[in-house]
Amino acid sequence: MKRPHFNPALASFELAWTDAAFDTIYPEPPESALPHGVLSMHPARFFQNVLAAVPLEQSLGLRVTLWMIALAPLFTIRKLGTIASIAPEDRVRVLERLLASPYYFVRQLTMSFKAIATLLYAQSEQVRAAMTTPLRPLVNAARLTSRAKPVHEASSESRGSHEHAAE
Amino acid sequence: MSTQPSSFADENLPEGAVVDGETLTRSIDDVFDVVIVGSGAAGATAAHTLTAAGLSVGIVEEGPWMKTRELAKDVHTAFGRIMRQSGMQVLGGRAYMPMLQGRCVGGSTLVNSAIAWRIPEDVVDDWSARFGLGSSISMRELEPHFDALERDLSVREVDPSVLGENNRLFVEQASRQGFKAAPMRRYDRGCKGSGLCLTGCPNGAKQGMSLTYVPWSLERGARIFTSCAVDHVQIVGGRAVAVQARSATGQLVTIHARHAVLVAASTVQSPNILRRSGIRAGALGRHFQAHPGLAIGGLFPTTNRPIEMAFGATQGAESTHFRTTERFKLETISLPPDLAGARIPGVGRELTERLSQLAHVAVWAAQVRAEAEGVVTSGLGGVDRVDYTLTKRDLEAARKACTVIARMLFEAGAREVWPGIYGAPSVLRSIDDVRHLESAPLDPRSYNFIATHLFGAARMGKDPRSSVVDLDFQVHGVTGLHVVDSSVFPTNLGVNPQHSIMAMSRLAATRVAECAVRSTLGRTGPGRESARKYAKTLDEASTAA
Repeated sequence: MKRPHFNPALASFELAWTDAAFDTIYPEPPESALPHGVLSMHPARFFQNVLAAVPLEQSLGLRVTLWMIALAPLFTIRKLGTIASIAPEDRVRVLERLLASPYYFVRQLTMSFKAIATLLYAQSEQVRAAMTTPLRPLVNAARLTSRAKPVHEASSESRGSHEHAAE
Repeated sequence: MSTQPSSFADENLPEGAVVDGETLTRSIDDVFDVVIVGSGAAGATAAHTLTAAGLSVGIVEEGPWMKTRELAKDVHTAFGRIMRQSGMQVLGGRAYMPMLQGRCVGGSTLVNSAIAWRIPEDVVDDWSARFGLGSSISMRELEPHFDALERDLSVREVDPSVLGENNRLFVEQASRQGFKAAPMRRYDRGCKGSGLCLTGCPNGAKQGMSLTYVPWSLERGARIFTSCAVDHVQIVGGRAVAVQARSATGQLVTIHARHAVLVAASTVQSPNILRRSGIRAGALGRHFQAHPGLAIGGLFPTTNRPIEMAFGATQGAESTHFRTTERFKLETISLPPDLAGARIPGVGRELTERLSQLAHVAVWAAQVRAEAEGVVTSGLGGVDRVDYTLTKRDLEAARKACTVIARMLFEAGAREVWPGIYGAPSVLRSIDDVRHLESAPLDPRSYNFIATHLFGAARMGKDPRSSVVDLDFQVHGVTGLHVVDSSVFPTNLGVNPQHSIMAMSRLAATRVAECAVRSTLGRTGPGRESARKYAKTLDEASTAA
């Protein structure tokens, strides 16, 4: 049976929010340990296509999620601005706090957003290859020193609320 | 690299056997001995059994036929085409729970891990004791059907050459802990370990319904109407006479049934089809059950042998050690990057750092034999809805399962474990940290469950006040309307259900076939003993074919 669909196109500011949020999850090197970021994969266009393809309820939920993430700087890090207008390191803090939110719907919706970003990002052959190819010990040691911070340091720095994220 | 065979069983189908609702430009009015709603594990098995008895069969399937050569490897494209609601369907309740259901020819058998488990004897005993199913649904009745299915669909243990490290390590670690564990038994004809079960086997090795019972039934004269969503079953004078569907192009599709209509649209869809058909049984939509699943990832040192989930059976090892005592089953699951990414802690650099080491990540899971019962209803616009909240005991089982898995991962050498439980650290760094899980909250909103394996909602029983179908799978008070999927199961099983669904469907179809043949020949009912003999005759016919 055909279901009602109501998916007005995303406005230009919503497209900018989408790009910024996706870019925070999967940034470009050197902020990423993978070959490229998600921005080159046109995340806003992808998100718009997802909204058009999924049932109305899920589509509305995802759009609400986008707004929630966009306006989150104010209630998570007390900064006036949207996700697109704040500094990249602040964006990371915002998303980490949303994922660790004590409010179930907030963290669950943010997680869905992260899942959609991953669906797009994993379509890149280059990224898939980098994810699924084993690291050899020597290579890994080199990577860990050449990168800004290894996992254990990066995550210990962001302990606190994120340490209890239900991811 | 694996090479594909020159042709797959879903190619070169008999002319006119497939009516594609995506290109249909006129309405359809057709007639068969039996009409089956759904082409998944239950529907396809019934079609195969009925065509073996010489009956004409029409199958109505809501989704498209995704051929082996057309399968996409990335989850987004694949799920968008073959999963209900593009894979975004959820159970409601205190917490949302994703519920993955295939919506295509073959149903979930196209996208599951093809795990074959005979229904456990304790479950059959329970059904007999608590629901009065007695000799109608007994191991004696079911065993010949399991045997036939295993022959037809090549059930075998995962070959060591395609076991993969994720599975091998699980078996090794479970055995070290003293848990019974083993490679799984699956419907497998030449698995190459592509690790792509969840998006459909690109090698046609997984013996799902779209490569086996559906095309085999078409060879015997059945016809399938794909991309045609069933609205209701027409019931006239207390008898099911036709199925009304609408093609994806909006054309009306009416398929008349001379003898019977078999509903096999799944636990979520079948109850609502019955509702729209005017069935008003009190138990309809109630007693829904599931096996909520949880997966936990562990990151191993890069100096260790890599796990490489991209190679090996997607789900290849399991342990039922805790099934009866703690109500959960442990198993492996190799997640593709598309799905793993969302479950790995962090964003930005932290996340990509972990993802760059995905080849060193193992994912082990638990499915809980939850006692909770939910309700299937129809929401606005005809959307199927399920309201389902786990009980405290279910959450205790889930928490225990997480603790066991986390401990196993650390003892296997993991340096990080990601439990994914709100209220516990998102990253555990040593086996001592596992204690945090022991006191994790008993709140369904704290866990990331996925609802797998759905049961009930059109439960079988003798009493029409507490059940929907009788012991012959026929809806109480409606001649010729049968439900043959896991909707009729009085409870969940605690093991993967596809094999049991198919055996039950085969049993049901055998009884329907016998009844149809009897009514054609004008003979009177010979009882269950002759039904068994009849099933044997069908088996011989099947083997000969």
